[in-house]
Amino acid sequence: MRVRLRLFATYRQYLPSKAEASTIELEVQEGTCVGDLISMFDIPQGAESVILLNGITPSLSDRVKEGDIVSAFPAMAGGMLHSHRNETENKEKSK
Amino acid sequence: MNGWHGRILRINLNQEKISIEEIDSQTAAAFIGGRGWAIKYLYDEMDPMVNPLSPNNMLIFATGPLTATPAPTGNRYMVVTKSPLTEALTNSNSGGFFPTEMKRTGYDMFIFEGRAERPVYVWINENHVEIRSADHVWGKTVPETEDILIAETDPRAKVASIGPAGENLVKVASIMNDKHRAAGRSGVGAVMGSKNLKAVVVRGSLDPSFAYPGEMRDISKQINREVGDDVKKGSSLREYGTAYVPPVTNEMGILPTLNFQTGVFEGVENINGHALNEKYLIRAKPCYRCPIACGRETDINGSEYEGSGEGPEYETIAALGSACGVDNLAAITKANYLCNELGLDTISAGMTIACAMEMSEKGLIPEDDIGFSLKFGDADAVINLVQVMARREGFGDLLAEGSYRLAEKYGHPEYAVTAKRLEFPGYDPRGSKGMGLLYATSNIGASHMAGDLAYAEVFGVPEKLDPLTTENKAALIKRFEDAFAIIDAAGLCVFLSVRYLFEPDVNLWPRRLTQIMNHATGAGYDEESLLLAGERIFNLEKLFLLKAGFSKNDDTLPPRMLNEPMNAGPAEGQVVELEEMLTEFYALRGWDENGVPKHEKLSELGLL
Repeated sequence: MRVRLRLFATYRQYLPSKAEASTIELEVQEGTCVGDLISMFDIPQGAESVILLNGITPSLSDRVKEGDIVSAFPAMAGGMLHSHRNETENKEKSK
Repeated sequence: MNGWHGRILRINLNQEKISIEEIDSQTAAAFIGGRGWAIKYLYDEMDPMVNPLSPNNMLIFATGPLTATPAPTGNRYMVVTKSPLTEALTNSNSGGFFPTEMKRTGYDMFIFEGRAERPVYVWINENHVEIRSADHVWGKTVPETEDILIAETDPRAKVASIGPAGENLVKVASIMNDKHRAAGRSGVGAVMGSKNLKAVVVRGSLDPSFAYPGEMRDISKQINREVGDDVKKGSSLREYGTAYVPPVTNEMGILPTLNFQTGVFEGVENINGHALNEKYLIRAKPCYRCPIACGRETDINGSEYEGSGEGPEYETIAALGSACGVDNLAAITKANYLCNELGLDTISAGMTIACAMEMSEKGLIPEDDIGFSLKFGDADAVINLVQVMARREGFGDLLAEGSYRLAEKYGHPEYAVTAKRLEFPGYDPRGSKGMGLLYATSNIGASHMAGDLAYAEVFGVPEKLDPLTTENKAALIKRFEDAFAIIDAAGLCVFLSVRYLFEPDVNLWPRRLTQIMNHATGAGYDEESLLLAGERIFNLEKLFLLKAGFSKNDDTLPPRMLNEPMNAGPAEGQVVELEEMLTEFYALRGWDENGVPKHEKLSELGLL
C-alpha cells in the first residue's frame, strides 16, 4: 500500500536527496507502524520530534493505512531542548 | 537599584514639561518592570474610561530589569496604553536594538502624556531630554524618518517612530523601531499619532548594575552556550525564521485560510520558509544579544514586485497570505515591507483585508464602496489595500478601523474574526483549544503572545499536548498567562525564555528565570513569588479592564469559532467549547462566575 511521508523545517534533511518537495510517496507492507516509517529515515523519536499521522499525534505503534500521511518536524527549533533537558535529568539522577 | 535604574522619565507634551521620578524598590519588585510597572502606573493614574485617542490617554514605553543586560534576548520593551482598536488596555512587545538603547539612557520607563500642538519628536540622550519639531518628518515613512532623525541627532542613536498610518490614526497602526521591528498590536501607533509624537530617539551608555555580577555573567554564558550548541545541531528558527510554520499549522488544519473559513490552504507549499530561503533570503538577522536570529533580511527584486527589507515571519504569512487566499510569496513579502514602512500591524491589516474579502464575495459590501471586485486570492489587491488603509484613502478609511468596525458597519460583525475586537493571530482555535481560551481571556484581546500555548499544542515545547482536547487547558492557560507576564515584564523574548528559563515541562516552573532575576536585581524572588508577581500583573490588568467597562460578555470568541464546525482537515467537525473552559478558568483564577477577581484573591496578590 502507498503512504506519504512529509517532513518540515530542518527535518527535510532526512528526505532522500532526490526529493524535490517536502513530501515523498512510499510503498509499504501491511502492518507497517508509524514508528517503522520514522526509523526508516533515521528521524529522532524522542521528545525533540513532533510526529503526526494525518495531522494528529499518534502512538508510534499505530499501523498506517493506504493513503495515510505521516509527518514530522523538530519540536519548535530543532532539538533546542536537549541540553536543558539533559541538565535537568542529570541533576535528578545525581540526587 | 540593580537590574532596574529605578528612574522614570515623564514627558507632558501639552506643557513641554519633563520630569524624572523614582520608583520604590518594593513596587519595583512586586510588578517586576516592563508590562508590570506600566499597568501599575496606568491603573493608578488614568481613568480607564478615557478616550484612547484623547490627550488624557497615557502612552508608556517600558523596559524590564533584564533589558540591556547579558541575559540572552534581554532586548525587549513594551508599549502600554489604552487601545483605540479594542478600547481595552494593550501591551505590545518589540525587540531589536531600540529597547536596549532606551534602557541605557538611564531610565527604565518613559511616560508620554497630553498632546503636542505641532508634530514633535523627543530626543533623549541620558540627561539631555529635548522635545523637537517633527514638521519635517511628518508624512514620511518609517525608514525615511529614522534616517533623517539619526542624521540630526547621533549616528549611534536608535529610533521608535510611527509611519503615515499612525499619523492618520489608523486603528491598526504600529510603532516601529530599528525600521523593521514592530510593537504591532492594537493600534498603539494611533495613540502616538494622536499625541503628535512622530518619534522617540534614544542614545545612552548607562548600563544597569547587577546585584551579583559574577553570577549574572556565568548564568548568561551558560545559557548562551546551550543555545549556541543547539543552534549548531540545527535550528529551524535560525534556518527558516518562523516562516517554517505554515506547513506545520496547515498539517494540523489550523492555518487561517480565507478569513478562517477553513484551516487548510492548498497553496501552502509556496509560502513556507524553504521557498523564502530559495528565493528571497539575504541573511538571518538577530536582535540584540540573541543567539537564535529568527529575523529575515530579504530582497524581492527580480520577482514581479520590487523591494527589500525584513520579513515575512509566520504571522505575516498567515494574515497577508493564507487568510487572504494569497500564495504568492513575493506579494506577501511586498505587503509586509509596505506595512513596515507605513507603520501597520501586519496581523490586523491582513486579517481585516481577509474579512473584507469574505464580505465582498458574499455580497455584503457593495463593489462600489470598494471600487473594484474584491476576491480572495487577489495579491495585487492586498498590496493596494494596505496602502489605502495606511493613508485612509477611499475604502481604506473603513479598513483603517479594523475588521470589527468594518463588519459592524455593514451589519455583519460576525464576519470579524476578533476577540475584544483584536484580530486573531495565526492559529485557528477550533484545532487548538487552549488557544481559544487564551484569545478569550487575554487582557488585550486575541493575542498569541499573552500566553502562547501553541508552544505545547502545536510545536511540542516543552511537551506535545493534544490540541483537540479541552482537558486541563484552563490550568495551563492560567499558568502560561502568568509566566508570559513575567517574561514581558522582565524584558525578555518568549522564544528563548520558554525553552531555557523554565523547567522543561508544560507547567512552566521558572527555575532559571528566578535565578537570573535575582542575580540581576537582588530582589530575593523564589519561583512562587515570581509566579505570583506574574499573576499580580495579570489581575491588575483585569481590574483595569473591568473599570473600562468590560465584562464576562467580552471574554468570548466570534460565532464562527463557537458554532461553525471546522470544515476540513484534522480538526474537521471541531468548534471551541469555550464555556466549559471559561468556567474552570475563572474558578482557578480565584474569580467569581462573572470573571471578577474575588476579595481573597486580590488580598493574596496585594492589590486591595
